Amino acid sequence: MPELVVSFVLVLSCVCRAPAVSSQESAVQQPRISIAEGVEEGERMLVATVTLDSRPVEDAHVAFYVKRTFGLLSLGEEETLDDGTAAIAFPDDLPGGPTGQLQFIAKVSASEAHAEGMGRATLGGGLVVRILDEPFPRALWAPRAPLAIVLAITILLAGVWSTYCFVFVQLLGIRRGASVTGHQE
Amino acid sequence: MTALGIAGLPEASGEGISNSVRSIAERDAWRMMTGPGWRGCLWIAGLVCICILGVVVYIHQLLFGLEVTALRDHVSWGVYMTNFVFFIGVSHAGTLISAILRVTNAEWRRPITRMAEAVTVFALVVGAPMVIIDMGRPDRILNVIVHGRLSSPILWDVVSIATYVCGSLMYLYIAMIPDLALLCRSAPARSQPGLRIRLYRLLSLGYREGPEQRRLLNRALATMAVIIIPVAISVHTVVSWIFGMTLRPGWHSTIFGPYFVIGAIFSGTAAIILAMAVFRRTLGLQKYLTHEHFRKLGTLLLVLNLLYMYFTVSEYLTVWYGAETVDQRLLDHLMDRSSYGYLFWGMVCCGLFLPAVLLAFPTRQSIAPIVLATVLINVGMWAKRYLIIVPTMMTPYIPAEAGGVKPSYVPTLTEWAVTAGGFAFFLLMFTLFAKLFPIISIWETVEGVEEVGARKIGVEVGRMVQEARAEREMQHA
Repeated sequence: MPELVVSFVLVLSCVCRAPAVSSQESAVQQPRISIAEGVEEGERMLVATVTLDSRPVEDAHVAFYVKRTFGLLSLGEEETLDDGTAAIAFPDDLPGGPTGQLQFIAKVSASEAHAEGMGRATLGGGLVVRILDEPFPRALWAPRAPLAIVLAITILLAGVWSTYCFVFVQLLGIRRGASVTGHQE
Repeated sequence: MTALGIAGLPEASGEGISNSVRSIAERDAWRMMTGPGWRGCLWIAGLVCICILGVVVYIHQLLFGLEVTALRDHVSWGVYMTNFVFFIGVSHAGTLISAILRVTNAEWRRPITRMAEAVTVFALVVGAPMVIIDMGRPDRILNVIVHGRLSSPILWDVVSIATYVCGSLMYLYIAMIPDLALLCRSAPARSQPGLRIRLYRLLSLGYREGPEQRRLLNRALATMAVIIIPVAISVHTVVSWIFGMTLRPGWHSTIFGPYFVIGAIFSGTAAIILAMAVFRRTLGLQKYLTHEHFRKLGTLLLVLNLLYMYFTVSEYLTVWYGAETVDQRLLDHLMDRSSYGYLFWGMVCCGLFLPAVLLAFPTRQSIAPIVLATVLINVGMWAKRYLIIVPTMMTPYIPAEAGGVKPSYVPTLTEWAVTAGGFAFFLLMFTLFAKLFPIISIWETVEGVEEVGARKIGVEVGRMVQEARAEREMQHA
């Protein structure tokens, strides 16, 4: 019986709290962020446009990133203008894999007017990385050792172990000599 | 003096003495292998207990991981790796005494070759597994072979040590064949247990000293003596390269190869002199291991001592003058008034200088100063290996303190117990070997007396002849 009462109180408290949360969410909306490439005074730019209910958001703080293998590389930060755009110079020295594609991310910090948000876009413009025919050549750092080391070790080991074999053959000769002498006796 | 180089025995003919030496040597071989007595039994029981303790503690370490040791991220090599380098160093005794002296025809080596070869094998048997004991996941040891990289000195180490173990075993065994045959022939007359005779018969390969067998044996021995020298040198060089090829202060040094090889021969020679002194006293081998042997080995040890001092000064002086920040931190670790400082200066004073003084002024009456020097050298060389490994691990290029970590290493009881077990196992193997096989190479000694004379071999043949005469007189009476 007491468990039932406790459960009832808990459910009631959740129900009462739920509208409060939803009202907060409705108060601060998440902005929409689009990323595109543009040109400004002849310079190639990376432009993020922040909108809220299709209206541009002014003075929003935008942080630009590009995705790398082990995380996000920061490219810069900018405030949006009255048209809702924020722009930074397009990075033209980043490797973009075999297709030269770079995945850009723009994050908008939360403010009184809006919640935080994030937009992504994959754009061309990265350096095209040629895939090596042999990514791990014979080298000290690679799984396959340089041929000189392989040869040296093989020759040394072969030399020592063949000498051991030669000695072993001598021991067999001693044993054979014993059996011959035994038969003669 | 007779043809055999024995003073004070004018009536003895060369052949008669040779026969006496042969019979006394054969008798002594059996006498060496008689039951251990109550003191010996106590000694063996003590060693077995310490070995069992070591095994139990190691199983505890296996179950709970390296957490039970003081090994952590920063100091991942400690006492275990010190033992590894120390025992691999000691294993050079056999190579030096037996192979090098055999190749250079140093006749006085004959009575001590067996002991030296045994030291090599047993030191390798104890030293090599220390690397596995140091591993957190020894079940992955096969990965070293399966996924091994040929350019890694660690793989070279595995291969070279395996090659050295096989070579040392063969070398020890081949030199024992004539003695095993001799024991096989003389065993029935001494009513020895059948199992022992069967073992000797099996191992002697039916050797009967025929000219063809003798030729083959000599060829095998000479070949092994030549090949085992570069193999042994390669082993310790490769051990040094594990350190030398790592970019860490105190390790990345071009002289580490020869430095380690000289250190190994130095500690190995000290170990063999110590073993000689112990066996000489416990088995009554005074007529085989004379002051002459100790003096000659003492001189050799002094030369190695001075060489090692030269290398040590050369190593640290250049680092000190270089004064790179990280090297300076390492030197501060080693030479200030800390635990490492005391250990370093203790090693320099008691492990290098004091032995050099003791060895430079040997007395004719006693071997005690030489034996004391060998004890100091062995302790000092163990400490030196510890000082090579641990302070460097405490001194990474990026100071650990910057990351909020203060690295420290104080070996735990687990590590000391496993170490004690390793040392006890080494001594136990040696003791049991001496009870199962002649610890003196009888055939080489007798052959040496016959070929070049007792004086060059260094054994007291006069005493042996007198013993034979006294024995005959007793039998007549």
